[in-house]
Amino acid sequence: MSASVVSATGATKRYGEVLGLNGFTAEFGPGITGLVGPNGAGKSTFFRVLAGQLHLDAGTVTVLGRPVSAPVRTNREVGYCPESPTLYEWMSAEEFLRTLLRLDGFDATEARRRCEDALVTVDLLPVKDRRLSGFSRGMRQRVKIAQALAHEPSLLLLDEPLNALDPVSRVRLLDLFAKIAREGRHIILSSHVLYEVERLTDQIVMVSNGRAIAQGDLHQIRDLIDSRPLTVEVTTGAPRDLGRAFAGWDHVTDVSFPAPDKVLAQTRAPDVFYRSLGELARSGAIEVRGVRGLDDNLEAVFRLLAG
Amino acid sequence: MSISAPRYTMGPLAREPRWNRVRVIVFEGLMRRLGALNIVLIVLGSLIVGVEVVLFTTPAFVQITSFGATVGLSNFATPYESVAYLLLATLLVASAGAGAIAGDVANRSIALYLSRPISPLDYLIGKGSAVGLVLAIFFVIPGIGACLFAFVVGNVSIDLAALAMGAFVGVGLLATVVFSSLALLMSSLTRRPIFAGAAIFGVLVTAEILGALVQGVTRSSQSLFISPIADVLAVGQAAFGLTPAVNAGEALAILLIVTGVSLVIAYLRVRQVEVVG
Repeated sequence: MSASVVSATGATKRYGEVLGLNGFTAEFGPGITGLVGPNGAGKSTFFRVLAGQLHLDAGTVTVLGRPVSAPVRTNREVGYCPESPTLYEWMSAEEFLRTLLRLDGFDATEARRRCEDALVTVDLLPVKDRRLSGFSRGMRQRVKIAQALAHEPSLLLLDEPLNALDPVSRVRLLDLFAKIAREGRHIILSSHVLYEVERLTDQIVMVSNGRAIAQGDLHQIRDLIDSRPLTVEVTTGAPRDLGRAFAGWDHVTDVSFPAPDKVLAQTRAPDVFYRSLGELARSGAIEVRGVRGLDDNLEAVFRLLAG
Repeated sequence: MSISAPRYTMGPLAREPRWNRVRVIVFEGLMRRLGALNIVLIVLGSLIVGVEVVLFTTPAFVQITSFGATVGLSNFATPYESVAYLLLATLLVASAGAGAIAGDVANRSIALYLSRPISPLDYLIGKGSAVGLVLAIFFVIPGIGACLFAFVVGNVSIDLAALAMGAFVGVGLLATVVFSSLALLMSSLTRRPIFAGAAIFGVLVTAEILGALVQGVTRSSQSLFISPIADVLAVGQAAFGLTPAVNAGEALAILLIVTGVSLVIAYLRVRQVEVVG
């Protein structure tokens, strides 16, 4: 019996002339595994294959021991949070979640209960009656996560789940994912920001150009990356105050202001930086609207590993 | 050292049966299809059927229009005696059916359907039923209402009213199934609802015009078979006791074949749908 939650052997997917997956071979074990790679590496393609939304041109993929070519049964056990912001725009958040839960096969009463629980989890209960077309990107992201969680799947496929979220929501969701994994469920989570994945797991699969180029312990990869400083872009209403705060952190080597509401910080200790920034945002001392890692170093490592 | 493989336990599978899940797709699709334009078209269709049936079955109008005082089943056939009613239906088919599948692909909400335990067949049945319900409101309900009205206010016996109602229901359901399957086919062939709508309207109207043109040149009514509208008209006229321009049995066979082929192609297309980009 295979110990893998997800197993891919020579998975190949073509989009006309372009190869989305190019003989992708990897094993994803129990617990949390990070799928890390630059934009366009094939992460979303692999997730769509796992969710039964793309058909392989070659190779095999199994999800929870079943071939991915038979998704109807597997989808009961899988929660998928796609990267694209598409939702049923004409519905309210509550209608949307209830509809998907009914499609999962829950009766009306159970669907209503689970819907409410999921909305509480992602902190959207107060806006449950508002139409999704009026939701911000961050709120949409939380709705997508809610629909992936609501039916309590054994396996969660989270494609860039922390995109567009504010620091407080990021911390809360990372804690939630860790809790889900402790309950014995499995998560495959993609990100192009290695440090987000690192907070949850040390098991990663690195992907580049549609191939798995490294698999296993994250710390060895990180050692490569930590040899160079990381640049982080922070969006804020108080750039001067934030810049002053950054200047006081000894691991920050450079601070600049590329736009009136943005601060660029270069740090030698990304994990300490993200932790400190999260604490600063939670304290309410300085408003932090968004954080984006300009992870050039990661790209360099990918290039190194990909040869 | 011992190695123990993890055990994967299935979650609660005793959830609602398949048809209840399909019903959710139908309901959601129905809400989407009942837009303002479609409601206007349904009202117009109802007016055509209602006015025509009343015109030819109530005593006062029967006298005025000198169609004779005796009302028979053929007096109810007026919606199926000209192409006006079915051309209006074509607009509704294009409007209500175009987005059935193409709309989900265009706005990518099909990704969320396909990530649920829904098979392509469930999806197609759900989408087809939603379109079919809207078309049935157009094709079946006005006929039933008009027959009841004629029975109440006109010199129409209960037997005749029931017979006419049966004809409206039978022909209406046939038209619903045929046009729904054509709409699903066109909607499955493109990612853009507007293209699907244009294709539905274009194919139906072009086939109708082409059939009539060829008939004019060849003096043979056989060419009318290529038009689903003419075929439905033929079956409708036969059901109401009139003599259609083409053989109604053959027209019915053609409609059933067209329906079957359309549904098979639509099913194969839905099976191939991928969420890209």
